[in-house]
Amino acid sequence: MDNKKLSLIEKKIKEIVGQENFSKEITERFCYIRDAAPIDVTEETIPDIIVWPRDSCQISKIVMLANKMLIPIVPRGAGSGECGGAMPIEGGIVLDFTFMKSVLKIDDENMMCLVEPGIVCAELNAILAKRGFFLPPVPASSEMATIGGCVANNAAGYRTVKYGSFKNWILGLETVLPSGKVIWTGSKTRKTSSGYDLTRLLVGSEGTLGIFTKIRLRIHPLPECRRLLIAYYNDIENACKTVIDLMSSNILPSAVEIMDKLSIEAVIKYGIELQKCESIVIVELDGTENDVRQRMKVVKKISVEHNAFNTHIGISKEEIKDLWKGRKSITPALVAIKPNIIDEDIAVPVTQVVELFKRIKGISDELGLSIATYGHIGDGNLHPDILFDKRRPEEVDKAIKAVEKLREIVIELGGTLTGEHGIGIRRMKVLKMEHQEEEIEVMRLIKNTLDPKNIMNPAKMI
Amino acid sequence: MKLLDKKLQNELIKCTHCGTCRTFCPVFLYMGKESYNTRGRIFLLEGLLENKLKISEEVMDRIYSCSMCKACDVACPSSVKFTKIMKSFRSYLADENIRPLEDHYKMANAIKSTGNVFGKRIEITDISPLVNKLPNEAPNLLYLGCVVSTFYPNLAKTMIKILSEANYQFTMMKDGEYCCSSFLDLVGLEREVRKAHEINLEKIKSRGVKNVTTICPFCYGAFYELSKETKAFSTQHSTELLLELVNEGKIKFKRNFNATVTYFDPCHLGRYHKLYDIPRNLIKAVPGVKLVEMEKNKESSMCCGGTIRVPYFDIRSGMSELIVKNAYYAGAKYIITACPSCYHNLNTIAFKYDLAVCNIEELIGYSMGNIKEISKI
Repeated sequence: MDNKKLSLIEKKIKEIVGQENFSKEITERFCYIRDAAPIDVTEETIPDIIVWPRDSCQISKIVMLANKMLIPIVPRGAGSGECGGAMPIEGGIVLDFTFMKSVLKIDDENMMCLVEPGIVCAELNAILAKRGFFLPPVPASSEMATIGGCVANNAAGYRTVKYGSFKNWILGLETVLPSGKVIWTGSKTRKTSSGYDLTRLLVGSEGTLGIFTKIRLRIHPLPECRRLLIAYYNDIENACKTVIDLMSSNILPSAVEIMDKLSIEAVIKYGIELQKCESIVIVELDGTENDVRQRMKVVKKISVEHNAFNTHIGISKEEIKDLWKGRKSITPALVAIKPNIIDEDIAVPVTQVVELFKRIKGISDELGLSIATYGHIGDGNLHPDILFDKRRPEEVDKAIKAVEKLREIVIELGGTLTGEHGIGIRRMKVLKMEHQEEEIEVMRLIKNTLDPKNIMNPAKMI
Repeated sequence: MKLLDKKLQNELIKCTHCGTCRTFCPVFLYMGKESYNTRGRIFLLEGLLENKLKISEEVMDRIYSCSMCKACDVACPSSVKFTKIMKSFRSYLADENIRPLEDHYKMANAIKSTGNVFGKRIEITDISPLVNKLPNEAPNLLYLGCVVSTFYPNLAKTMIKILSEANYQFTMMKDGEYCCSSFLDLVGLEREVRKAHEINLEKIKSRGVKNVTTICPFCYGAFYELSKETKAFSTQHSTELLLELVNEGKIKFKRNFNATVTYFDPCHLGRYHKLYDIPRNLIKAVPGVKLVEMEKNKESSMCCGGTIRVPYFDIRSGMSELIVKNAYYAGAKYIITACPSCYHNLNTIAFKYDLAVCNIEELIGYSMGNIKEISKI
């Protein structure tokens, strides 16, 4: 941005948000270059301005200004996304939502709440838990990710297998459109057939169509009981077959996770107690105590039928926490082996996971790279983590090649390139692998209609 | 000297920029701006290493406003040891005569001339008549530290009385204490750290001391490092010693302290040395006390901002207020701490929430009948 334009906009934005909520200091701006995107996202630009808005009125005024002066706007929650969605690659204004984090209303009887986008998922869940409720989608980043960011990415996590991703929990959105106009989408009711479903359009739009300023969410009563089964296998096939049978039964698990041999070895090396084996399946059930107990017997039976050589059921909160420990320690455990990771986010129909594991092994053998695969196998969403050392260019090249090969395989198996992390910059160029040109053209038409000047998080998604 | 040695560059490389630190960095929790978060500081260090940024007043501000509390170290999913990185970078800045900040130099000079970080020459023998009665040599030494000896002589008096009543054989540095070095270490003045260590080692050896007890967790850390390096003595925090004396029946409680209290974990006792349960067990030993936990406790406890009070007074106050609020929501009437610095910082805020702050030694002294009431500022 040229200096004249910058000083003009500086004056106007300071009038809107106050001096203390505006920064053009390089020290501050430099900290907004990246989000949690890994090394294969190479585009970097220092934003021109950082703004910490306090309400939708301020945001609307800023967007109007940006629209008039053709300045890119990038909304940012915690910057924990892995696709560069919050990276301001064309410069401009970063809107940081850290201070817009109020819970505006919790309506116990109608089981909904109204929040500002900057509240952190775990914080909201802690508040809801005190009233006996929870917001079921729990992304792995829920400790720092904001609700706004999760809605923008249609985030998911391990409970999606039963409860769905964020899009299933949004009733309505107060949104500032790229023109600066403020609209409310959706309804306060749990269902509506009225008009185009703009809420669903905006969820997962990664800040390219508008900026959420208030979010109305459904909430769910906390289950009376949760139990966890961990099953150990001498191969990966039987683990996958267990999951296929589980998913087509009436069990309705609230989480079905898998860890492959490398993930298991890494967490054992990291100091977590786990039995050494080829694969592990973790199944969580929730509901009333009697019901969970009965269903857990079936889960165990199915696991044993598929040659699980050992199973263990966690009943108390402490036991369950201990059993989750291995799964939740994979990232630090892998980092202890190799300093860098490209965390992929592929999903295939659940019947294809056996084949997917075979193909991943093929890539690993061919390139001589370690790939640890784990994830939400219940909905076919796996995270193959490609391990490398970014100080070794040959390893970086191989890692990038592994990503390319992985993507080809996923499409061949009828899957999606991203189950829950989104497109951002990282997968923008490969969108066409998954979608027809005509479909992408419809997406482009929507974007151009809502944001004809392309100011809203430009150069992302399509 | 390099900006960061190879080992620490490798440590930096482990950061995936995931932002988990946003939930734990107490400076960020108050400031809310990315450059005051660990990830932001890592971006700045990466920028300096890659020559994309230059050292400026603003960059220095973010470097020295880190409270070095280790909250990010403990929470980081990639196990990045950021406090080590920051300490090393501050040492580089000091070695190259680029920094520390002006206020830090003043404090370092105060130590040089008076042995005390606040520039006040403290006569240890004036603190309590009991000091003169102590032997000049003993196997155990009680070290007060700059904060206690300068601002809280009553706390020192209470501790001396507790130990004397428990028939604990100890001495003190009657000729005056010299700064433990922790402040110098935090701002990267390594040469001065070594000098302080030499002086203190001589003082310890000349008294035949085999065990040093400190009231202040910062001093505990400094003596712990010195004892690890020299193997000349062992180091104990006052809470460890007091619990031993309670368990041996040498400390006898005479009255109840009927109150709901919470314990605030000082960073340099908790995250730095994993002393979480000992202070809690000590508090629980006092009759009448009901101990409740704050939502953020032990490893995830916040930081009072004591290490950055100079010159970041406002940030310190904001950080302390977050802790006091936590204590208030936990339903406590008293915040007990085992660090005179935390005590100092929390005490300036607690009254706003109708809470009182109390040093753990005061609680013990009160229940033993040594002091009439828990002191308030």
